[in-house]
Amino acid sequence: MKNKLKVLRAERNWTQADLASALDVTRQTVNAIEKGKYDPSLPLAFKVAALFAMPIEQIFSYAEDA
Amino acid sequence: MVCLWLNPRTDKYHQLTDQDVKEPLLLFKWGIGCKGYFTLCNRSLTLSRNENGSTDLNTRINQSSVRLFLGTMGWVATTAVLAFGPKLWWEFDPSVTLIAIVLNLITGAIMLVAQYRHLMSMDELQKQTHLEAMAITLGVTAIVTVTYGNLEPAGVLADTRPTNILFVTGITYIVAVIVLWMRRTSE
Repeated sequence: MKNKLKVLRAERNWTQADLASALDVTRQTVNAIEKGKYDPSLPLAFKVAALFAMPIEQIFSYAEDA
Repeated sequence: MVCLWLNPRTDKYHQLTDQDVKEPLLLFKWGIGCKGYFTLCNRSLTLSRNENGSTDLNTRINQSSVRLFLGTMGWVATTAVLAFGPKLWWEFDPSVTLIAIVLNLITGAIMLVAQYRHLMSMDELQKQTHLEAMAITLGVTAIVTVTYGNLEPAGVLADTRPTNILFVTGITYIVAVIVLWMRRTSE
């Protein structure tokens, strides 16, 4: 999966720790998602979408090789 | 209206959009079942507890770690009593030994519940890392147990003790957690 988490976070001038705090996960989890090393669960993906007030498909997209 | 969020962990302020603040100064909805309250504190908005009463991740993990530590210590203590007590303290009295066995099983169950709750208190990446480490540990333990169990009949070792397998289990689990976590979270 690909995602725009890093871009969206940067647009809001949030640190990984800020985003992690809002999502109730560790900073390492946010980092792993941003780098594509970990695909978030559906509830967490929806939480991200709600936080950025965007449709989930605008943040996450399926990529077979990622 | 400009609303600020003071992140208690980083001590930094963040501006909230109108969409974030459904009920200004009171409620910030950020997802399904995740609502944080903002209260006026030192002329700023401060994030307090989630609406469902749960605390933040660090607090949850710290609390469950303390419970796990206490549960483990209780089990270790009753195991020591069961191991050394019959010979040193009550001269193999069967009724006292039975009580020691029951206490050991009860504290073992308490430790197990504490371990489960500790796992459930983690965030999803931590949880997945630990579950994968447990799967690896189960496989390694099974293989080593079979091989180790055959060492005595094969004449390689004169005395084998099943409890030695616990060392393999513990070390494998620790190494697996560290390696899996570092692979996913390396910067």
